[in-house]
Amino acid sequence: MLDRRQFLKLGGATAFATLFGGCDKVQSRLIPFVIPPENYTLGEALWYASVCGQCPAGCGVVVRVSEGRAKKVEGNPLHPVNRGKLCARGQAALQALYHPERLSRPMKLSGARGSGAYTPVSWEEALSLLMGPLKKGKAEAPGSLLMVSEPMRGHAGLVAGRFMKAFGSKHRVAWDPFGPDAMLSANAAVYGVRDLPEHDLANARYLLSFSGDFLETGISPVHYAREYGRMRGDRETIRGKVVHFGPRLSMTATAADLFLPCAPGTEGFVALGIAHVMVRDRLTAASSAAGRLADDLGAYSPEEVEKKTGVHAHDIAAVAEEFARNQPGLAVAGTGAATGPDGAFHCAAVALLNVLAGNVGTPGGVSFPDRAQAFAKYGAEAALLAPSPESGYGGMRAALEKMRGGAFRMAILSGATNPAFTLPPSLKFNEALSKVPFVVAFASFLDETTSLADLVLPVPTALEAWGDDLAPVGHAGAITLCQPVVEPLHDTRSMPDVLIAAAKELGGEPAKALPWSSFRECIEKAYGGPGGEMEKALQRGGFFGESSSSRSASRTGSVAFPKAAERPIDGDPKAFPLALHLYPSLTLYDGRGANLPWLQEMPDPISTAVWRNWVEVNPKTAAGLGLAEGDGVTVTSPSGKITAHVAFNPGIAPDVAAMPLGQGHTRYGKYANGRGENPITLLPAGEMYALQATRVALAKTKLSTTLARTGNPEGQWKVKNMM
Amino acid sequence: MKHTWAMAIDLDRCTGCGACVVACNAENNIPVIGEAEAGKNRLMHWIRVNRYWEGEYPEAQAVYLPIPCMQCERAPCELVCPVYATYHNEDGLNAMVYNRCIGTRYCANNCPYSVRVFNWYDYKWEKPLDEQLSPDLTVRSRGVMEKCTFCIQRIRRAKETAAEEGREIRDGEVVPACVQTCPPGAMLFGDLADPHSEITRKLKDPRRFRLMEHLGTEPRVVYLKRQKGAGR
Amino acid sequence: MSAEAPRADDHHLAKTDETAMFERLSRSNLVTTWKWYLGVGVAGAVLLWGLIVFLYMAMVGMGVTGYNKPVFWGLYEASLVFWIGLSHSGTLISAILRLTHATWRAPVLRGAEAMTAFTLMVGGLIPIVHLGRNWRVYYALPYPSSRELWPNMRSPLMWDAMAITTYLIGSLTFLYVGMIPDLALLRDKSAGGRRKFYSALSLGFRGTHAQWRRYHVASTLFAILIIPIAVSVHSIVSWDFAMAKVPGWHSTIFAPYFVVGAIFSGIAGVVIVMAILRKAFRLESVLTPLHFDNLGKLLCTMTLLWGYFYFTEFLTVWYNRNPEEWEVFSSYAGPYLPLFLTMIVCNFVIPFPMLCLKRVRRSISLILVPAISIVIGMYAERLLIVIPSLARRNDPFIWANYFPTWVEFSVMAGAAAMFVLLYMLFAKFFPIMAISDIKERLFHTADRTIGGTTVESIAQVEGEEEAHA
Repeated sequence: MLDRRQFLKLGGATAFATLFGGCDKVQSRLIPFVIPPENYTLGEALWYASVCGQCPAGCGVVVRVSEGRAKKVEGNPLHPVNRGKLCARGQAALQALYHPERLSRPMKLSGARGSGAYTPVSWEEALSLLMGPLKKGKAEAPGSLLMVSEPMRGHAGLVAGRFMKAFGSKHRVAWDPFGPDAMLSANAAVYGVRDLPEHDLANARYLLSFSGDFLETGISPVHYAREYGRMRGDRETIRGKVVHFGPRLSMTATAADLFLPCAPGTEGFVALGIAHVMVRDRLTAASSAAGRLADDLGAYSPEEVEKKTGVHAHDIAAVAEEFARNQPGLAVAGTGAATGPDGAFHCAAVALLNVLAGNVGTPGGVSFPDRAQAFAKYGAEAALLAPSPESGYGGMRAALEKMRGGAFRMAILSGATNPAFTLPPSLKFNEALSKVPFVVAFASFLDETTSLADLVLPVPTALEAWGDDLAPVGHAGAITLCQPVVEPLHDTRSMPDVLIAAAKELGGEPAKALPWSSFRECIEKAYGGPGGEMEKALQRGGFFGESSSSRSASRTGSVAFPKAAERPIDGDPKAFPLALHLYPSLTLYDGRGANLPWLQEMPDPISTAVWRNWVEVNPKTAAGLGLAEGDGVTVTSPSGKITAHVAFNPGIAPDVAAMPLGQGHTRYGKYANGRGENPITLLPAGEMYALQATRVALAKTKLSTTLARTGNPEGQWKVKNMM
Repeated sequence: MKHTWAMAIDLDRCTGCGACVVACNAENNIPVIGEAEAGKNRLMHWIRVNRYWEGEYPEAQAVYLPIPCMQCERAPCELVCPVYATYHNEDGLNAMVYNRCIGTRYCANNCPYSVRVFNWYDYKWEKPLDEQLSPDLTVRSRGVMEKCTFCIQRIRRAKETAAEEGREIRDGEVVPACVQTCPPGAMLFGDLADPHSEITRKLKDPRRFRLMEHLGTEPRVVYLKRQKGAGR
Repeated sequence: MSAEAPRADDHHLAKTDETAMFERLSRSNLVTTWKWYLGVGVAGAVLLWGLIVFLYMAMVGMGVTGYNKPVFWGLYEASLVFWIGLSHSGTLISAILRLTHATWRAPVLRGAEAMTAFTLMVGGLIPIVHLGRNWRVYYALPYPSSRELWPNMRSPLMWDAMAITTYLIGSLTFLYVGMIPDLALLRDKSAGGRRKFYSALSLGFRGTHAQWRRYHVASTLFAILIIPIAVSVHSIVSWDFAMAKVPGWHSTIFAPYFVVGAIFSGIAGVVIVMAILRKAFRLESVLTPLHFDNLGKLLCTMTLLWGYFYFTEFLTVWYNRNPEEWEVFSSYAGPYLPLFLTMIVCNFVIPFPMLCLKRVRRSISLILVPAISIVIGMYAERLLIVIPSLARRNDPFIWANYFPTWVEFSVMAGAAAMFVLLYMLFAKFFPIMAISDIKERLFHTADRTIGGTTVESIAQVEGEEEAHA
């Protein structure tokens, strides 16, 4: 209630504010309240559901929108993957949306290829620039069109797949540096299902993590972090135990109760050692499988494994027994194992433990929930809606070979995986791409890859676009719907929209394959259109809970024993004494987050560094090399040489040097550029995208930069002062 | 109804992932200061995740300790502010009035948890990053202190909604951004004045402890110790 | 300046000497050398630079300093304590000497009291300098405002503001009251604008018996009142720290320890200022080695007292080994070792043995060594109190060190320049020697013709005059 006195005061204050507040800034835009925009009430926020596009995990989000602007992203509480939770990267989706360096208009190359000189053009001009080569290619050599994307899911994949097929080219490759290729082939071999399994952490009593990064950068970090929390604390009398094997005390390793360091790229041998003990001591639940594997496992006695991996034989035996006796237990392999010299072998060896423990298809074990039945209606085309294509590193290498041979007249680049940055430079992606006469890129930002294109078409971010998605794990059969939560900020068009328009203009086959007027129409047609069920689903964020979490029985009887292939490690141990362990950065992932200031400024949980990359070494190793924390070093491998700052990790194996990926950009805007060098440079152009198969040498050097860290080097050891 | 807001942080669940830090950035208009300033120990985060090391290789372990403002019942910061820029509000939270602050920084000195941060400059949001700024709270000018508020804007909103609907605030209806987003569910927020709230129940856990209890600040943030081994 | 004809009410004694003595004692007011202009010019320039840098800091933000989290206080706050500490010289010494009727005090009084006033003025400005929003300093003033908010009297900063203000008013009054007879003298000896200036300031003091009596009562009363104020001021300054929950600050010994340290540095400051005045204004005949000897003895006592207090403070923490406090003291052996060594060497190792020697105390150039070293040592001590405690806060994870940038150095150089400038202007326009006190002393000695115990200072003036004759 206002009394007269207060009224006068307020009135005075308002008058004052009007008089003097007005001096500061001229109001440039008034909000027309005669006809307010849809869902627009001043001071009142609305929440829209969509999907987080910051990594491939496919978490559902709700976005708080106030006065037409997205203010806050939160996990969608209804979404089965993340149940309201969200990680740092997801929170930062807003900075991608409102990034000052986002591409706002189509741009055509105005200088030499790769010079980064572009002039803005209108969409009409851009489309005509695109249609010229496209029409010519379609008429003359339809097979000369190449599409490089990240693995696409949902109807965007369908549109891209159909377009390429109708165009007449089968050259569609996908690149994702941490893609699940190794995991998929391992699962096919061990479980008989070429899919990503659901690990039921919440009901497990024991978890063996083999370089697991399920809490940070794995397939679905938020999902598994939530599951991990439940495993630890949601049961009254049971607290799940976690044992971690890996070359480095990573964030996930620090969550473990027991951390047993092993050499990089040897996780699979440790798993086989455990399997050996289980079979030898008759600790397995699946005795039939055990019987068949006994011979193969003979070579992996704990003593043998110790020689290979550095994990003590008695630790292996003790863990094996504890694992077998605390069922249900789980074994998970992480990015570190999958990107080892022979990722598929390591993943398969780990998966074998789940089979031996009899934990396939049981609560607290591994299961394969049915993929969305909604996609079944597409028949053979359904594969296009799953992560597609499944080409991976091998496909990329083959495509590069063909590029160099001049097989492609035109290339379409899309996605955030930035191959020019994430592929080893020795693979010469840039050079190969320069052999393609016309390159068009769909992107939100100029980066190392898109800045090689002749034509750059700006796309909306995940928060501004229509779409649908099926998360890789934790989906429980649910389909997520994406909708623009805000009016698109810039003059952008999504890739499916452009492909649909291009198909229309090409006519014939492509026009028939993509019969919609827009991608939105495609989605609406697929899900029953507005007004019906889809509207309700849009409000909820997707179709959840419709399909039961049925666990399909999988083939576990005739397990193929994973064979380790001898992969040479790059580098002579004498000249290069340290094994290099590269891992995705918690915040920057494969580097795509490097242009988001929030992520750059979030201290890494292990090194506590911000804004720059570092090389992690054991303090003892560093002492031997005369290195202090923060010192500059050159990291030399047989394939390359970079500089970085030293950060101590007391839990890293003494013969290992670890570096996070993600920094070292040169063309990803001012927030990302010049923050150290890209460790991918150190990798050879091998047959595998092996992040753990190189050796390096460190040497002290003077750097003009310093590494900003939040943890005091001395104080970080004094936890006793606090607790 | 009087509230006694409190937070529980279960160190057995905390993974140190930092989602709380970025969620707080987004919710509370926290500026990004850049590498040079970060190197001068001036990060503006309202919640930080301390990572301590313990032990030697191969037994080395990390201990994560997320530290928001403890919202002390007997807050040392409130005493020393000469202008009442920080005060105890009706819910027992340590509120900041930015407009009153003259920047003595005494409160920051007197905070044993070092959770207060100072606006060393007028921090800028490059356009259009400023579109993200939350309209619920101000962007602080140079020369004032700021700190975690337990997302007081959310508490106020929940109170208003509850008042409009003529009811009390429900347990779990209001949570700060950090608690909301915490992937492993390590953080819990609630009203201790409500005897049936989840936090009241949770804080009966014998693992509970508060930071620097010997200082007598009576923090509102309670930690639950990490456990070892399987079972309880 | 022309000496006027002696007035009828001038004292009957030494009428012929009066003019000569006045001219000697008031040399600072009478002769203006190029050195003075140079000094004022340099000090003014440095002050101006300090002001410009301060404005730059205020416009851009405190970020231009070396401050960080957790070291939110640093050079400014240490300087505040240092300057307030220096202020304890004057008034306190002068009051104590007045009350104890120390016969040698007269030439020292005015210079010391003036030092108090100006160091306080400088020190009192630093709390404004260090604010994040200096332009809002009036928020801390207790006046009925539209904000309907009274300052928080629980904050030691408020106590501090009040204590410093009280002390400043008190010491200015003390200085002024003590100066009235001398201002009257200057009035009588001057003409024109200066005469008007001095007559206004001398408040019609004509040297009547009643006026002299009131003057004596007033100055004694002030001397009594100013002592508790001086002690309380530095106690309260110490409470800015001691009341805080900061390991290394939170200590009951801080109040007496700060007072002792303040007097310690204050006396050292007086010695330096006296030596400069003596040289600059040729006061050799008035400020004799005897004065320096006496100040030296005081200083020697204070060195021991300071050492005792420091050791006591250290001992309790050392024995107790409260980890939080021990971290602070451990850092003295780490990044703050240079500061710690400076403090110990400059505050004790150099001054104590030197001041024990009469030869040092009686030589003006030699006694400057311990005096200057003490001022440096006490500055180091203030820095050592403020910084390591913050740099080693309770949470070891966020420990950070602090080093000032050019901004803090410039502003604090400006502060020092402000003191020098104020002092130079004062010496130019006001009687820097307590002429009437000296005369009084002269009068008393002259009346008692036997040398005996009262030879001391005055006798030497006489002796010198005899030599002249």
